[in-house]
Amino acid sequence: MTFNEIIMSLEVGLIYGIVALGLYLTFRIIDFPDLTCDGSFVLGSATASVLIQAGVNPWLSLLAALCAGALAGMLTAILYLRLHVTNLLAGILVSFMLYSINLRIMGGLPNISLMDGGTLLYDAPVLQLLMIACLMCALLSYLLLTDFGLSLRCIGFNPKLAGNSGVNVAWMTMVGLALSNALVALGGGLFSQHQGFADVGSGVGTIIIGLASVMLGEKILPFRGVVSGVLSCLLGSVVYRLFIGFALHSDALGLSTSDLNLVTGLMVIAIMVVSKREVC
Amino acid sequence: MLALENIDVTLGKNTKRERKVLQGLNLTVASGEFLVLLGGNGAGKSTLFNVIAGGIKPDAGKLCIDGQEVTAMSHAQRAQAVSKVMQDPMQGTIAQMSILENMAFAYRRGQKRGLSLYDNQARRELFQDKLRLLGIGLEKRMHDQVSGLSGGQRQALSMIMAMLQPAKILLLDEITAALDPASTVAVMDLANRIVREQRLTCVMITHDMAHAIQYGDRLVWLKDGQCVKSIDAATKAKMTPAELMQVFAGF
Repeated sequence: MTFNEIIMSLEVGLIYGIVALGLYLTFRIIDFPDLTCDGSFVLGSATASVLIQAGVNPWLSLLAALCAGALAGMLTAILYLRLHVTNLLAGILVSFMLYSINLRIMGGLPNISLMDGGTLLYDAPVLQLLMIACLMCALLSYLLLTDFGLSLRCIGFNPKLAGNSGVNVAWMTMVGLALSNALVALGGGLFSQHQGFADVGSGVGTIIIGLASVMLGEKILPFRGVVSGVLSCLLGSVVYRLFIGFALHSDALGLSTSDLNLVTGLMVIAIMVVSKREVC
Repeated sequence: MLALENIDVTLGKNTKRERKVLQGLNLTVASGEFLVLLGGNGAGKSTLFNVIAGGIKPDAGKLCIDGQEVTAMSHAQRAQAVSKVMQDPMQGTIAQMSILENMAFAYRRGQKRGLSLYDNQARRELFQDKLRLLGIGLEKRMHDQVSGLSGGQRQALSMIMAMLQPAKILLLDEITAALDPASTVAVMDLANRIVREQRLTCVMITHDMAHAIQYGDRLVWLKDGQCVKSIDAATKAKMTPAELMQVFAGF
């Protein structure tokens, strides 16, 4: 693995670290197995790319991606809360429908190139990404350390007590899903700016990659507490990328890029087998 | 004061298991009164508690707390006036959080939960003062996870949590059902002390006839969704658990 490849892993790791933060929020905090992310990742990517192509400031495009993701999360929440679709199916449905919506946003094209520039991450993207990722970590940690965050955590652990204590569980579930998918879509927006293109198929496996990062992070920082939980997502994502990088680039193993899914899946299974705590 | 007038509740509507749980139930609990509620399985005790707490909306009837009608008020809003200690200590606390986090969560019961940090010096001191009342050293273990506590300790903690923010009505739902004999005595004494010292309006469900005689100002027997018999403190004080059983067997 060359120095450039390591830096590249670090950058992509930081981007997917933000995605992992979103998954941490649903799978670990509010205990909602949300599968919307495959769609909301591309939604963020598509929204940001189209806006950048139209000459909008790249920061603003990220903000728009964030909002689009939040809307997708709210849609899943409405399906689950109002129409009583089961949580897994609600996410899958929204993700499925988002495929068409993403294509609409991208003007019917399966991919958009941003090679003409206008993106944030043109030179020295590591620093910028580190800054954005740390900012998201700080914001999420702070949120979870407030009275509001405490009630968000409680609806995952003990929804009955939460209801009896005056927490509007349905509303908080909606907020959790909106925040989570906003983070995932932000990750998508950053990803397309980093790669210089948006692709309608780029969201496949976002959940597994995010979960792998969350679980890996929990192994690296096995401490209880909100701040270490949030940091572990970022750390897990970077370590995951480095691990994948080494695995796919080492000649001895004879793996190619197409083996990514297999390696990731085996890694998730391995972590689940060795970890004693209940996962997912 | 808590007043329930002609409360009707049907559970499982439009299904095979549709059942009238409460039928024209009337119950008044005076301010500062400690009422003990007895009844067989399926009599509607838990449903009644759910109606008072706001988890179930009655099909008919009126519910007033301190003279104000709250029948249509949401579960979340109701939490300000009504506090509940549940039967299972696992349900009344959050196992995966520390004692401090549990207390901070309970401290905002029925209040707005804003964007200020849940942990601060003033709150810690308040929580420690409250935990000291238990006399089991929990005030020195604020950062311990609740999952490490025994059932009795968790139930004691959930009691303190329920009382952290003043409530107009306190509901105790078989709070000793899951505890060993020693913890049962400790938790009941604690509950009784808190209810009496703070002159709380309290309704307690129990299956223990001895507790029903020992605690509370009045005893009400619930059957088929109605309050069928009421026994005042002076009368029940002279009774034995066996006699009490016989009285109720007549209904």
